[in-house]
Amino acid sequence: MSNETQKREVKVLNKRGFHLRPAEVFMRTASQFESKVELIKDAVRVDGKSMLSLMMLNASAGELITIEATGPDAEQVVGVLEKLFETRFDESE
Amino acid sequence: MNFSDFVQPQAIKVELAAFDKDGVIQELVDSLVQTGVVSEDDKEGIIGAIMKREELGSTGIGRGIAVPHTKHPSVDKLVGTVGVSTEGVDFNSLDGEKVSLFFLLISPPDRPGDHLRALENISRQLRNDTFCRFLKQANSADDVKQLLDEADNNQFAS
Repeated sequence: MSNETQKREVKVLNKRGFHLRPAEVFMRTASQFESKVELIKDAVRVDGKSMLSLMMLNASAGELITIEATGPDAEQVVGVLEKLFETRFDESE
Repeated sequence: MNFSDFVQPQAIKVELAAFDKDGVIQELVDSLVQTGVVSEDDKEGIIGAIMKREELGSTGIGRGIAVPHTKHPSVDKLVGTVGVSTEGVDFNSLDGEKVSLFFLLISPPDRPGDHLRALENISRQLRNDTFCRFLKQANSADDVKQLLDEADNNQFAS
């Protein structure tokens, strides 16, 4: 098994930013994968599988975040998580 | 953002009487009404909005912590309070554990950034296990206020 690292830059499209509900969807989704998942915004790096950690990101609408995954399914997980940001975590605005 | 920017000291409640989700939210919003930052006329609307948000998914984020919240036009700045339950309350948390520490937030509809900054502050401070444990053990509102002030002064910085 390879332990490759994959990175993807995404933009927060939700009008209310990366608030509690998107964070929960992110955490639940990331937790289904084996790879370590982190989100990075500026100098802040948080654990993508911990709610308390994700809440620290403080990312508003329009801001850029980097998804970084390391592990055997890194490629797959960054793709799935990128899609969540693109579809606004299923929120209407 | 600091706790002192949004937590109304007079509305802090320890030894919450309520034993279910509805009751805790009522008790905490009531407490905010008594301080005057929320009017009696808006109380039911705010409680309803917070419960509606809970139906979308519990704000019980795990580790015995919940952040029930809503946006509401009756406030012109972010206001909040802290509640401590000795017994813990079933809140359908993400980890299934009972909740003993509540941070209830009401924000103006047009200020999503302030809400995010409050969440950032709460989560950053609660990651410190000592701070989290002390808050859960607090037996007076003054104790809670003092702990929040110490956190604001970075005394729990990890």
